[in-house]
Amino acid sequence: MARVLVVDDAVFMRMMIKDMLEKNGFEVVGEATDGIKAIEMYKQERPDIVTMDIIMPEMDGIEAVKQIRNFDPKAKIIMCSAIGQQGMVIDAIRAGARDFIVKPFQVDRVLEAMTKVLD
Amino acid sequence: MNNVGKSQFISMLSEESIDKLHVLNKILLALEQPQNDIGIDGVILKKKEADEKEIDIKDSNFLMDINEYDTNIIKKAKKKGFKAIGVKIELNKNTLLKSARAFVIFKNLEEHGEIIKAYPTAEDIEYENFDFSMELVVITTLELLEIKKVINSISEVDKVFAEEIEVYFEEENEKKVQNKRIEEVIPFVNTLNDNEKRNNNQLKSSAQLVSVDSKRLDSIMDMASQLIMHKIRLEKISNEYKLRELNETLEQLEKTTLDLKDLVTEMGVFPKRKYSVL
Repeated sequence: MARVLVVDDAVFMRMMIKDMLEKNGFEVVGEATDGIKAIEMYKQERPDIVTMDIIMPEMDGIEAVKQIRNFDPKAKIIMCSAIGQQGMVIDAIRAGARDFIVKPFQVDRVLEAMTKVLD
Repeated sequence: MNNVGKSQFISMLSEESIDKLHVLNKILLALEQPQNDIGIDGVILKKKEADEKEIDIKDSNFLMDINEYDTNIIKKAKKKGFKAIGVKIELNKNTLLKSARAFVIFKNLEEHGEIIKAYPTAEDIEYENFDFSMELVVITTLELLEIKKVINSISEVDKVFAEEIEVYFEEENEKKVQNKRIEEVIPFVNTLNDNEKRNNNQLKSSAQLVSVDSKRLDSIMDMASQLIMHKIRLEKISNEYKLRELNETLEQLEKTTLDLKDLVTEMGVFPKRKYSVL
């Protein structure tokens, strides 16, 4: 069972994605509310995969991707983006994110991204 | 926080400038290739004569037109033991951020090789001026099936069609001269200056005519002016924060942009004399 770290500053979003993942055989091992906490938790939990929001307080998702990839170049990170954030998604991919999903999340798209990145 | 914001801002600006320089350099290099149908990334110059089909794509599934310039690169690559693989990718019709998705595809493929051609052009893809399908030519050491697998492992990819591109090696001799120039396929920012000079000399010394879409010339000028604007903004920031290293780099950039400006002005003033604009 793949271990997931969910990073998003909105409780509702974390709840949604956690529910979606747990119903489909993923284990959510941690939740972080900003980039800095995400890096800490990544080091602690060493999850198989991370879902990362882009815009967050303290440290945004792009910077967090950079730092997590610095710590672990093999880190698998999927960005969670809103529709107007194309440029930021590209920056995140450039920083090392492997895939992205667009809000509002659709279960099949989320699962496709997760399984393809984990494969 | 303030510090982070500042350095992010600077890196954003300089990245943008570098991107612009790259594109400009490519366009300039492309202009250097005379009487040839040239395709480099976003730059495709129309060729007048109907070209002899050198390439045999068995399945006429591909819409892209593989020109002489591409063929030359493919030939060179094949000699060195690389494969040229044409891929046609269809994205899911529900794909929302198409250009970001295309970016993922480009990035994943470039981990295993080099994309030498894109249809629609990379520029169009970047601005989402495309439907749901795109065609690429990748030079790679991987096998056909492995390339397919790489693409299939990307989300929102519905269909992949891949095929090795065959090139005939017959008319070698007449192309030797051209091949030499195409040798440096990958331009870098620091070679820009040299290229410009070569370009400049060529414009002055030779009477060769090049057919260029006037829109391309316009976009070079546009980009040059944008680049200069970015440079000025960077200078302002650098002065404000007294960053010595940045200042030094900017001085070099200054020189390059000045040369570029001269070149662009020259092209702008005499487009008809130097080029036959389509």
